[in-house]
Amino acid sequence: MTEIGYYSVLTAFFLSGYSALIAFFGIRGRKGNLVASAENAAYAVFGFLTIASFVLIYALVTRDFQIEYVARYTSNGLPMTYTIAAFYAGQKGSLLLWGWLLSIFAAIVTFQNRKKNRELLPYVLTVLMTVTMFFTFLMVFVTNPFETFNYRPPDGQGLNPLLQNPGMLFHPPTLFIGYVGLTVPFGFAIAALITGRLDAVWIKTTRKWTIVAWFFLTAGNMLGMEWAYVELGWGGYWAWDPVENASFMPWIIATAYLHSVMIQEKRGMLKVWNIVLIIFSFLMTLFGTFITRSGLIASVHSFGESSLGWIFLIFLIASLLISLTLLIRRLPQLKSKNQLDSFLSKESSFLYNNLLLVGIAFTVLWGTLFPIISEAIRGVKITVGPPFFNAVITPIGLGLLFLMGICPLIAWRRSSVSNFLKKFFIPSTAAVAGAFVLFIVGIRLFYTLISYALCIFVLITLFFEFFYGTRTRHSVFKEGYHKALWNLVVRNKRRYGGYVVHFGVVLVFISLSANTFNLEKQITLKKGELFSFKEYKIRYDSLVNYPTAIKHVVAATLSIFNNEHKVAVLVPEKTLFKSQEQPTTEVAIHTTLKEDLYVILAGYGEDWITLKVLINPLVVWLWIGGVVMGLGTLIVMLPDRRGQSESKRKSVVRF
Amino acid sequence: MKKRKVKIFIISLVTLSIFGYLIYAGIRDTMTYYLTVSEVLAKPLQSFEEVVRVGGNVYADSVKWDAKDLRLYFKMKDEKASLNVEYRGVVPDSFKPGREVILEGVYRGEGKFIATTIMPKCASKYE
Amino acid sequence: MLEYFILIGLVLFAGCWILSPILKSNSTDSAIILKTDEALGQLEYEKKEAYAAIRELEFDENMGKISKEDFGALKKQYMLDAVHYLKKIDELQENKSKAKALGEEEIIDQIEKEISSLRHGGSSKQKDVFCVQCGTKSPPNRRFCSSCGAKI
Repeated sequence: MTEIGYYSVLTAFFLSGYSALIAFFGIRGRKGNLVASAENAAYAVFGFLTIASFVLIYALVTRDFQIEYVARYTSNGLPMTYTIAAFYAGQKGSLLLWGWLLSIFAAIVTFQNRKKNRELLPYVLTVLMTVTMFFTFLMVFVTNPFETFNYRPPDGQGLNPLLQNPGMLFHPPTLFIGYVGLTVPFGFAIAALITGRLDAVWIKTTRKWTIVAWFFLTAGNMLGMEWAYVELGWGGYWAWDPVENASFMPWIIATAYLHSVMIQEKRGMLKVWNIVLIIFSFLMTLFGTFITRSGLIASVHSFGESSLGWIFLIFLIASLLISLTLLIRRLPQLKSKNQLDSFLSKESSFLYNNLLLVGIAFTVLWGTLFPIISEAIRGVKITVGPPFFNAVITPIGLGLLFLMGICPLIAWRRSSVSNFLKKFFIPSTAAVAGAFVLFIVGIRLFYTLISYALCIFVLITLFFEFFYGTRTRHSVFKEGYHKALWNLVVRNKRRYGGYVVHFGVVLVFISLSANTFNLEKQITLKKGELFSFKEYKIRYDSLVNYPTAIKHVVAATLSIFNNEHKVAVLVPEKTLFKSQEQPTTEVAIHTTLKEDLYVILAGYGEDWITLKVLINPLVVWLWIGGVVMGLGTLIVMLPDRRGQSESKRKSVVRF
Repeated sequence: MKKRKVKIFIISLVTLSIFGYLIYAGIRDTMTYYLTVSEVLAKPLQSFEEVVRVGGNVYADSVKWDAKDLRLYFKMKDEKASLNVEYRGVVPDSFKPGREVILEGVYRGEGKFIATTIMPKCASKYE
Repeated sequence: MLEYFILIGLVLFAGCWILSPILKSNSTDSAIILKTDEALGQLEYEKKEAYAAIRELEFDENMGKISKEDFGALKKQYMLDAVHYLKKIDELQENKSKAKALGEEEIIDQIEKEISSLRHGGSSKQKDVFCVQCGTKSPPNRRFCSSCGAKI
C-alpha cells in the first residue's frame, strides 16, 4: 500500500513539471492543444496527490506502524480524530497536505477559468504547478512521508499531548489553506506581469482569491491563539514567537493588499505597490517555513532542524528574483492612471493605512531576524522579545485604529474640510468624553486610554455609517427600516461587509487593550481552605488521582464563588501520558463576558495544592471579535444573488 | 502637482522616521543578550539589574522542586561551566533534566542566576 | 499486487488523457480565446467600476458626506470616465456590429438611465429584453446583444 502513496507522489512530481513546462510553451507558441494538455495534467496531479493523501490517511487509520511517520505520530490508544489529524502533525505530512491543497486549488483555478482569462491561465498554471513540483520534489527526494521500517513496531510513539486538543483539528489545516490560498494571487500576479495584461482582469480574480485566503488566515491565527490560551497554560495567547510571526506577516501584508486594491480598482493607482504586496505575501509563507525549519532562529518551538529550511530559502530567493525581474521589466506599463487629488480623501487615508500595515510587517520581520542581524554585524546575539513588539506595534496599531474611524467619514477623491469637521465632531467628542470617564474611573495608562477612546470613535463612525445608510435608503426608496438595512448590506457587500470586519477588529482591540489589567497570584491551599482574589473566592474541595487507558490524571476540584454565589466548579489537571515522559497541564477557565478566571494546577502534595490563578479581563471579546471578522469576510465573499442576470455585475458596489 | 509630490514625500518621510525611531527605541530599551553559560560567567558584572537570556542544558541530578512554594533550583551547564539557577513560579510542562532550556533573568554573580522565565526548547513534535 | 495494477492503470489512463489534446490537432485554437473578447470584458468591467463610483458618490451625497460643490465636480469627472469607456466599447463593438457611434449627450443620457436601473436593482420593473437577431436574453438597458452584437 505504501508504495502506492510514494509512486503517486512521484507521478505527481513528473506531471506537475510537465504541466508547468507545456503550459508555458503552449501559450508562448500559441498552441491551444498544448495548453489543453497542461490543464489535463493539472487535474491529474490533483488526482494523484489525492490518492497519496488517502493512502497516508488509510495507513494512519489502520495504524500501520511499519510506516515511520505513522509510528512516530500515532499509537494504539490514540482517539480516531487525532489519529487522522496526525496527518499534519509532522513535517512530512504537512508537506503532503500543502502539496495536496495546492493541487486542489490549481484544479479549481483551471476549472473556473476554462472559459475566461485564457491568456493568463497558462502562466498561472505554470506558477502553481512549479510550486507543486517543488513540494512533490521535497517529498520524493528529501523527506518521504511513506518511508517504512523493515520491521513492524508493536506500537507507535503517540501524538504529543499538547497536540491532543480540538485546536489541532482546525488550526493547522485552516492556516495551511490560507497559506496555499496566497499562492493563487501570486500566480495571477506573475501571469499579469508576463503577459503585460496588467489591468482590471487579474486584479479582480486576485482580489477574490486573496479574500478567501485572508479568511482562512484570520481564522487560522485566531484558532491558534485560542489553542495556545487553553492548552499551553501560561495564561496568554500570543508571545511573538518566530512561528507566530511567520503566520502573522502574510496576514498583515494580505490585509494591506485588500485595502490598497480598492485604490487600484477605483482610481487606477498603486499598481506596482499591489503587485509587490501580492508577491511578498506569498514569499512570506515560504519565509515562515524557512525560519522555522532552518534552526536559524532560536524559537521556543524548535522544530526538527533539517536541510529543508535551506531548500525553502533557495526556492524563496529564486521566486523573489524572478518576480522582481518581471516587475522591473513591466514598470513602464504600470504607471498610475490618476494622481492623488486631495489629502483629505479615501485614497490618501488608504495610502496611509498601507504604510502603517507594511510598517507593522517590517517591524515583525526585523524583530524576528534581529538575533541573526546583530550576530552578523556585532558578533553578539541579541534577542528582542514581546516587549519590543509591544512597544513598537502598539502605537502603529493605534494609528490604524484611528484611520479605521476616519476613513468612512471621507469620500473618494476629495472631501471638503468643513464637511469633514462636521462629520468628525460627534464621534471625536464622544471619544474624548469616553476617555475622560475612563480616566475618572481610574484607567490611567496612556495607551489603554487612547485605545479605548479610539474604539469609541470607530464604533460611533461605524454606527453612523449604518444608520445614515439605512435612513437614506428609507427616504429615497421608501423601504422599511429593516429592509433598508438588509438591502444596504446585501447590495454593498464589500463596503458593509468590510465595516463588519472593522467592527470585529474594534472588539479585538478592546480585548487586547485590557491585557494591561491582567492579575496573577500563586497560592497554596489546604483542603477546604478558601482563597479570595478580587471578587472571587476559590475553595479547594478534593484531589483525585486516577489512571485511564492512555494517561494518568491528577485533578483538583475547586468551587468558585463570585460574591458568595457559587458560579462554577473548576477542575484543573495534571496528566501524565503513558507514552510520554513529560506531564501536561490542563488549565481550567471560568469565562464570563467581563473576565476569565484562569486556574493552573502548579503542584500538589498529600493534603495541599498550589495554584496559579489569573484574572484576564475581556478575553472572550477577542474570540467574539474573531468570529465577527469572519462573518464580515463571509458577507464580502457572498456570491451575488442575481448572478444569473449578469455575471459581470459582481464586485460592483451596489447602491 | 509638484507641490503635492513634495507633500507626499514629506509625509512619508515623517512616517518612516517615526517607524525608524520606534524600532530603534524599542530595541534599545528591550534588547537582551543571548549568551551561553560560560559567556555569562565571563561577562563582567555591570549591574544586578541587566536581564539576559542564557541557553544551556539542565544538569541531570541537580533539580530540586519545592511544589508548595513553587521554587525550583537546578544547575545549568554547557561544555565548560555551570550556573546555579533559582526560579519561582509554574514550571513549564516540558522542563526536564537533561533538556535544553533558555532562561531569562538576572545574573547575581558567583555563579548564581535568578531566572524569571524558563523556556524549554520543547522538542515539539509539531514540526 | 492488485494495487500496483490499479496504479499502473491509472498512470496509463492519465497519460492518455493528458496527451489526447495534443494528438487531436484540430482543437488548436479553442483553448485560447481571441483577444478582443477579453479586451471587451475588461472595458465592461471598467465601465461598471465607473458606474459604481457614480452610484457610491450619489449615495455619499445623500448621506451628507460630501458637499454640493464637491459632488458636482466629482460627478462630472466620473461621468467623463464612464463616457470614455463607453466610447471605447462602442469602437470595439463597431468592428463586429457596425453600430453607429453616439454623441456625447446621448451617452450621458444613457449612463444616467443605466445607473438608475442598477440602483433599483432587483426591484426594477423593466424586463429582460431579447435580441431580435438571435433571440438571446439580455438584461434591460443593454444596447447590444451580448451574444451576436446586434443593436437591440
